[in-house]
This record gives sequence, structure tokens and C-alpha cells, in this order.
Amino acid sequence: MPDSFSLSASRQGSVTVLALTGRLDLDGSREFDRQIKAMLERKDDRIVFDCAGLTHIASLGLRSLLAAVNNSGKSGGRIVFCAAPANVAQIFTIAGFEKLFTTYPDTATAVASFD
Amino acid sequence: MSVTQHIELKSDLTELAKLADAADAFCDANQVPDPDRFAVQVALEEVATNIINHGYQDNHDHTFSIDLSTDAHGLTLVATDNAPAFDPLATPEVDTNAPIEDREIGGLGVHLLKNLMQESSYERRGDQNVLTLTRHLSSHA
Repeated sequence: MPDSFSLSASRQGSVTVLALTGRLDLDGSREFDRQIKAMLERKDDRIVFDCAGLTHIASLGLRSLLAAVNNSGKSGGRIVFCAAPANVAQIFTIAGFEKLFTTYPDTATAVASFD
Repeated sequence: MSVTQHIELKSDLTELAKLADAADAFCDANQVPDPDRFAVQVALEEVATNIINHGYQDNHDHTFSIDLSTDAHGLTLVATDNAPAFDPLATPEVDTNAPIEDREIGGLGVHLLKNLMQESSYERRGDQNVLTLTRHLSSHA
């Protein structure tokens, strides 16, 4: 499979920017779930999902994103999205996620929203 | 001109990569533009995952097929399997207006299918489920 999923984290002040790259499919969402669980457990729960590198998203991936936002909210954290490519943004819209997710055009504005 | 590409797949999620590659090659050959290609790839993965996980209950000993074709109408995918009769199009719609705490986790896949593909039909033909989905292509609109 081309462009398998990967995650890379970088710290900007108290916010973690998580770059999601490749295919958020079955395998991708497993990896995603594992990493998010670990982050939320250590209260690393002020997170920006940078979606610029996402090339594909399956309903399993949507479920994982929704669960992450839901779980972080329950424990007082906050997750926002930025830079989703048009194809991926279209899927978010169909799923009705634009009403559930807070989105920003780029990482800078997304990170600044935590101030 | 309509050339059909027939793809035989085993009921194993590792086959999804083969399906994605075959669909990519088909889209290349038929000059399917990107927004449509992306939508079709998402739809194909949902259809195949549904057949493997729900139709065949993750039992890997079965096969199913996907046929891809294009015509003036758009791009059509036909998924044929011999799992127990099941019409995915008849599953209840997700409520995309529900608040986040109440959002159902299931049902999203079919919701995506119905919204990404403009035409959909299901037929039980003998011992086979035949699901047909058509996407109207941007360049054909």
C-alpha cells in the first residue's frame, strides 16, 4: 500500500502539534488510536491535528478522530484541526464533523487558539 | 467507450491494498480526475471492508469481486459477494446533526457511500449480493 500512515509530534509551548500523514485507514487508525490513548493518559491533551499530509480517510479513521475529540473533551483537554486538504475536508463535511470539530486554516492559528 | 475492470479479491483486509492499487490503475487509464478518484477510493474501501468484516465475518476463505467501469454516466462500481443476504443501503442513516456525545460510531461508512456516490442500488441475485454504486464524474457533469 502506498503512503502508509504515520504520526509525528512537535511541541509548541503547551500545545502538541500532531502531523497526520498518509492513509488513515484500518491500519492507520489502529496506530492513531494507540498513540492518542497514550497521549491522553499522560494528560498531553492540548492537541492540534495537522491534517495537511492526509491522503486518504476511511470511516474507521473518522471514528478514531471523533473518539479522540470526545475523549479529550471528557478529561478537560482540547483537540483542534488544521490544514485538511480539500478531499479530506469534503469527507469531514459529509460526516457532519465540521459542526463537531474546530478547524483552522494552518498550524499557527490553530496553536494560537489555545492562548 | 466502456471497458470493465474485474478485480477478484479474497475476504481478507490485506486485500484492500490490491484493490486500491487496481482502482488507481483504472482511474489512470480512464483519466478520472482527482476529486472523483479520491471519492471512489474511499467508497471502494468502505464497500470491501463491509463485505469482509460483516458479510464474511472476517472468515478469510471466501472471495468477492469488484467491477469498475466508466461511461458517459460516470464511474460505476459493482461489488458481488456470496455472503448471507445483506443490503447495506437499508441500514439506518447516521444523524450528522447529533451533538458529539451522542454521535453513533457505526453507520458512518454507509453514510459516506450514499453521499460520495450519486446512484446506489442493491440486489439479491440467487445466492449473491450485488451492490452497484455510480459516481457522476466532474468532467462528465
